[in-house]
Amino acid sequence: MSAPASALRITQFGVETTAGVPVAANKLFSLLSVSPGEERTGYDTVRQLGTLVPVDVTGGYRWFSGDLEGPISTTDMLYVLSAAFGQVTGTQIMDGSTGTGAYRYQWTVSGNAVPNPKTLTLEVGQPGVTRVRAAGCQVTGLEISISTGEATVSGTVLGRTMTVDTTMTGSPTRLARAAIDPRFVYVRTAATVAGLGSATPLGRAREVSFSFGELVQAVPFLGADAVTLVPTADDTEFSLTLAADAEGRARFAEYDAGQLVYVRVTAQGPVIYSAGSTTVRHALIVTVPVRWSEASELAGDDEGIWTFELSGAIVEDGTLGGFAQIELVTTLATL
Amino acid sequence: MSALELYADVRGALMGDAVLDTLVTGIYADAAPESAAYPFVVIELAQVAEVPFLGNGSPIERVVVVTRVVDTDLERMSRVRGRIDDVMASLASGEAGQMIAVRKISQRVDAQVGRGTIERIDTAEHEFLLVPAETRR
Repeated sequence: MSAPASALRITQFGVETTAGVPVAANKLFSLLSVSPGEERTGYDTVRQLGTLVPVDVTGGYRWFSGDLEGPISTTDMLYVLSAAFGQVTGTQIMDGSTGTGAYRYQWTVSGNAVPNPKTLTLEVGQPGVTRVRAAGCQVTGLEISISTGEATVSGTVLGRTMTVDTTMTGSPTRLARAAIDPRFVYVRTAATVAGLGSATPLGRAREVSFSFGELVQAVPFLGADAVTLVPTADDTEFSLTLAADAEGRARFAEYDAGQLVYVRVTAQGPVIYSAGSTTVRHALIVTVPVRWSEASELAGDDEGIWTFELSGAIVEDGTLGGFAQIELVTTLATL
Repeated sequence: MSALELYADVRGALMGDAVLDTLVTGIYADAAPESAAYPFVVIELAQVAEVPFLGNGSPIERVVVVTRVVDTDLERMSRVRGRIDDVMASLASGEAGQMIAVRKISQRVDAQVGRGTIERIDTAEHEFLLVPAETRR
């Protein structure tokens, strides 16, 4: 029998047809991993006068809570975003009448609408040793961080039910790797959504990060066999680290003026299609309306570069139709 | 201006400084000869690195120059160090609009046995940031 080894723990998943009903976890993330964990309510120790130690433990509810993290790959992100914000249909990008093999998925995420995430069955484990399986999984607490050194995503995977046994789903298919390249990450800001289309990318940006908040929580009901995942409100944040030059001063002026700023980060990866003047890359494009709320660092020192770090709330915006527009270009035609 | 041109300019500025010339017996690149008399200065090019930006924005070049003051007399070393810092700071205004910043990022004093006595080495790192003139903003 194999020894349980942390390094050999893999993360497989399957897309559920009915939320909470487990399916075969027949896919492997290309770059992401999930560390399994548990949350619970109840399970309190019971004490009784006359004894020096607890006499019992109460019943309660338990649910899966795993930490998702790793480099951004657009193929992984299709499932992560679907499990966070819902399933959308992909449209093939065409070069005239020629299919490029690249598919565009678009989410417009509003804080005024009840989210309907596509749930996943997750298996974390080592084949032949131990499997932790969670069903009805959604992603929340999504954070996307891109610097000149790395592009990463993290979040919490909440699952309604959890079992621990031995048999992982066999022969899973690994998603193709399509990692973001910081040399092809463009940060644009504008006073209007339309203005983003013609805005020149910032030339001195060092790091951006999006935090979309914990928008789902597990709630138990009496008599239910498992928790229910329900929407909840939380804070959002966008932060930008850039050189303290004209670009940094412009952001500070926006902060001074209390201006609503639209930010679009276009993060690209490998080429999917190239013909003539048409090149289509794997891409994750995130557009958010931001109101700066804090100049969290005015004396930053990043490899000798004097940097500003500004942070702000990602806000609900009628023009955008929500608090985020997310576009994904990848090679997967469907979930 | 390239990093090597900058290094040559810094060496030239230190070696050509009349005040520093009166304080030391010699200024050497990379290593001092065995015969060098106290106090003397050794200058080295310690690091050349590009600082990238997202989206392949024009990188800035980071150059670190190390100066070592070697002597047995701490007060005399202090005067030499002070003059070196002054010369370095005078370079901040730049040449051809390409040098945008210079600062001292570290300094320490070590002691070691050398030439039959306890000699002290005052080591300081100065950082220079260079940006191509056409992208300076």
